Amino acid sequence: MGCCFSSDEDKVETNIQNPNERTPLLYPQPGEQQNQGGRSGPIYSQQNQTGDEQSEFTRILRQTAINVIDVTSTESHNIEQGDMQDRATQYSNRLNMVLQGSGKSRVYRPNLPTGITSPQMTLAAAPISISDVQLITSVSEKLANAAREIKIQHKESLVVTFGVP
Amino acid sequence: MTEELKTYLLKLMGTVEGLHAIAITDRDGVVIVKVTGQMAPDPALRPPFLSVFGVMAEQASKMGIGSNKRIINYYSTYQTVQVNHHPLLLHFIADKNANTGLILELENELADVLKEINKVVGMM
Amino acid sequence: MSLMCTSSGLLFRLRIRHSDNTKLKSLLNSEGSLLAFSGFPDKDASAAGAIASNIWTSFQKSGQYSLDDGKLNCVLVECKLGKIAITKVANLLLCLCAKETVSYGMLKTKIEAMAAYLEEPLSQVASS
Repeated sequence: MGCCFSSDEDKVETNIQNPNERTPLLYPQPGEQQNQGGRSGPIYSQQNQTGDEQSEFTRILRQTAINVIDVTSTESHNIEQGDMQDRATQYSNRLNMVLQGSGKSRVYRPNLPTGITSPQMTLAAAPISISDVQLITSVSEKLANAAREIKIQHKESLVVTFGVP
Repeated sequence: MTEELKTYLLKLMGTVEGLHAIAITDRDGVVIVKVTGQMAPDPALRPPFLSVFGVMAEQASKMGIGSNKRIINYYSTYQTVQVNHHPLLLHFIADKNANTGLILELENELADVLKEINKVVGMM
Repeated sequence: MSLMCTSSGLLFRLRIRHSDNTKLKSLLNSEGSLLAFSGFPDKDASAAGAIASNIWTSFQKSGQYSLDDGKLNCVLVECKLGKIAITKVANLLLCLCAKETVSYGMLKTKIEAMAAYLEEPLSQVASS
């Protein structure tokens, strides 16, 4: 895959064939950027020192790239199978590193339900009454039934015949 | 260390009946960590499937109703719940009858884990 | 003899109960062209329709390959400012847009009800 930082004019055509989220959106060639499927999320803008005109220009380019809706790229073909593998391996190494780096062998525990500040109190309390359980069950059943019965009232025919020969 | 994380994810997965797999990937669908049950459809945990959500989340963000947060798909046998947790994507693959609300709730349970995994992608 | 949908009837149906936070309802053909929509006039309706159709098609395809040839029944999309539900009716796509406060369950139930209601008339039109 090409690198768009290249200043080689001839390569630009081929570079934009495979845009990915790291392809710079700021290449100063207006027509060239139309195919960009710019990913949402933070756009990393290049530091631009060459003045207002230039920065305005890049802003417009970036906006255009954001506005373009590329419906052709349903899958990211940008990444080669091998690159994928490499990246997955890298991730798993880094994950190990990060988890180790976070110190103290962490034991992950599911969080307590919100609203329970002192579990011992909740656990020591008397179990809820059977009538409450029944109430919950019957109400949820009724709700489920009601949801199943949501349908549209028929008022008039939607289809009419026309153009009788 | 990764094993501990996987054990935790498996434990979470067990709390929702019918949930077959949890995968955490980057925006291109490259797997960072995943756990699967016996019933999980294997191809759905590979990049060709996982990468679609990243592209679709990006497109959905252009519908004029703000940035995309989640996409839920109901298929004839499975449902997928996919969450855009920038820069990570969460994928849950479950039986079509599984409780979608419970699956969505897992995102909160995963908050701590996601903070750490964020660092992994941040390094790239 | 030809059949056609009375557009007023259809739009009337699409407009049902707009009190419910569901802002916009639209019918698309499989290429994403807007056939009918009701709701607040909005220039984004056609663009959003095209995107919705593309989302549907992509997930349908990927599901076919990766989820045991699974047929796609319903898609729910949640964005920061709203939710969208998409489903198939006859050979068309039905798309509901709702505020972000509408719950997933209600949105899904409503789109299913609408799809069931529109299935017969729209298949009639499609097959004629």
